[in-house]
Formats: sequence, C-alpha cells, structure tokens
Amino acid sequence: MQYKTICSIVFVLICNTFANGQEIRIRGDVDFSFTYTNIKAGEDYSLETESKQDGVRMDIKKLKRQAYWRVTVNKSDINWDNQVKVYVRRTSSGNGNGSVWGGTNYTLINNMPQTFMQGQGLLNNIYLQYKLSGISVELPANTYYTDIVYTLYEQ
Amino acid sequence: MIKKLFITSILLSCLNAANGQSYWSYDDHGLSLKMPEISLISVMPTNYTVSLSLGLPKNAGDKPGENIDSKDDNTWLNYSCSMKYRGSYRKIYAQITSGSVPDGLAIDLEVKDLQTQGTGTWGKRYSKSITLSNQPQIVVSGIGGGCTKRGRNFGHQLIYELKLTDIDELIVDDDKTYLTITYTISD
Repeated sequence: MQYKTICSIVFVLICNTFANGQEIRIRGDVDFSFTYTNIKAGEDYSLETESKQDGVRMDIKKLKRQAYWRVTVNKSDINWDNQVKVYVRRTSSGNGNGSVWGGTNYTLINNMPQTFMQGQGLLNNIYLQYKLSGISVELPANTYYTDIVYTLYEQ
Repeated sequence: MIKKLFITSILLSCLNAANGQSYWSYDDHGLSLKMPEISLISVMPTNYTVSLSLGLPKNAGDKPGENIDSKDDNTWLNYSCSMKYRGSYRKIYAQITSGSVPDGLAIDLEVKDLQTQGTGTWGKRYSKSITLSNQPQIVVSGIGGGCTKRGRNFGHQLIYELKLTDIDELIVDDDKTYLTITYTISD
C-alpha cells in the first residue's frame, strides 16, 4: 500500500514536472530588403516601410484556466543602426477562447522591455506587423540584425 | 526501492516548486534590414536635348561669337548614392561618347554646386569648367551616402557653352552635329 501510494505520487509529480507553465510562441521572421529599383536617381528611400500584416504569429499557450496575462517587447541588437527605429503592432486578435487588448497602434521597440499588449486566456495566431522608420541612403550599406523578444507574464 | 521513490518524489516536488515561481516565458525572432550599395545618376529633365549654335557676326569682318543660343543651362545632374561604412567617396565623370565637336569649336561645361540642399553627403564640383572631350573628366567629387533630390532645380546645374576656338579650322559642311554626353558615377 505504501509502495503504491508513493508510486502514484511520483507519477503525478512527473506529469506535473513536464506540464510546464505558460508559454509564448513566436513563428516567423521579418526581412526588410531594399534594392536600387526602389528609388530613382536623386531620390531617397521612403523614410518608413512596413512588413506584411501576417508575417509573424504569436501564440499564448499553457496558461492556467482563463488567467490574465501581459506581453512585453524589447529588442536585442546584434548589428543595428540606432537611426532606424522599429515599431510593432498586432493586426489580429487571434483565435481561441481568450481575448486581447492593446497593441493595435504601433509601439516603438526599445532595448528595454515595455508592455505591448494584455489579455486573458489562450490565443493562437495573433498576427504582428512591423514598421521601420529612418531608412535613408545615408545609412551605410550593410545587413543589419536585431532580435525581437517577447516575454509573457501570467498575472 | 521505496527509499529511492521517496527521494525521487522529494526531488520532483522541489523542481515543481521551483517551476511554480516562474510566471513568465519568452520567445524571440530575428529581424533583418538589408541596405545595398547604390549609385544612380540621371540628367533632368529626361529626354531633353541641348541645342547650341554659334551667333552670326554682327558686322562684316567680325567673328561668329557668343549669343543666347550658344549657351544652355536647362539641365541638372541628380544622383543618389549609398556606400559602405568608410567606403570611398564617389566621383562623376563627363565625356563625349558619340560624335565629335566640329573643328574650330569647343564645348565648355560648367557644373554648379547644389543650390538646394540634398540629403546626406552630396558632392562638390571638381573645377569651375571643363572642355568636353572623348576622355572622361571629373566634374563632381566627394559624394558620400546621400542624394540631391530629383527634378529640375535640384542637384548640380549643367551649363554648356559652344565656343569658337579657331575660325581658320571652321568648316560649315553640315547644318547639325549630334553628340552624346555621358555622365558616369564611380569610385
């Protein structure tokens, strides 16, 4: 009896251990690329450019039932020019039993995390769109990289 | 065996307790921006043909000379340039690439500095004027990452002037001579 009880406890604990807590999942990358065909002689690039509306998708998973949550965003520069500003907004509210608010207007992404949007419950396929500003021929020719980091906090 | 299970259960409890303190998770994705090196140049207005002619002598015995038709200042040189960090500045060369100036005549080219500011690092004229030939000659230098803006009245104004250099060599055997002037932007 004692043996069975302990085995049951271990089984529950194992299940619990591998059933992780809340999870945020990001799918997709964003590549902005310019060529000489984008401008004519004498012109500068358009100062702002946007990515596709559905290029990146966010899922909010494995929450406690109908828990409230918030998501922060920041960037971690690998090789980035500070003249170029990065903005993000959500273009959909996702699918699922949850709901989301905030984040529909463009938010400037800094290197320090800041709240991007909040919600309640599980959601899939929240589409994200990006905008860059400060694009100019003055920018040295190069390929610039940064990482966009989203952090989910269960409340 | 029971002892081992007991120890395992304690370890798993500790692990779960530790997980329980974690109320956040994160994920990330890459974002890239590719900016190419470009050098674009254009003479504005497009499809404009410069026409120059020498004035008739005013009096018998005078030489054919300059008049309003021997000069043209209606074209402008526009360019956009993007270069690598610490790349070399660009220059613009001018040359006659087809046709030749009739004997006894020359075409001088004056390239003005920008009168309306561009963006970034635009160039300066290299000399006050040159006499066009079939050899490339520098007319603008010091072009970095920048642009002149596009259209008439932007960029470097070009002033062509037809000049009589030697009346003895002047032979009028054709009413018009066609030339092509080519501008090249390069390191």
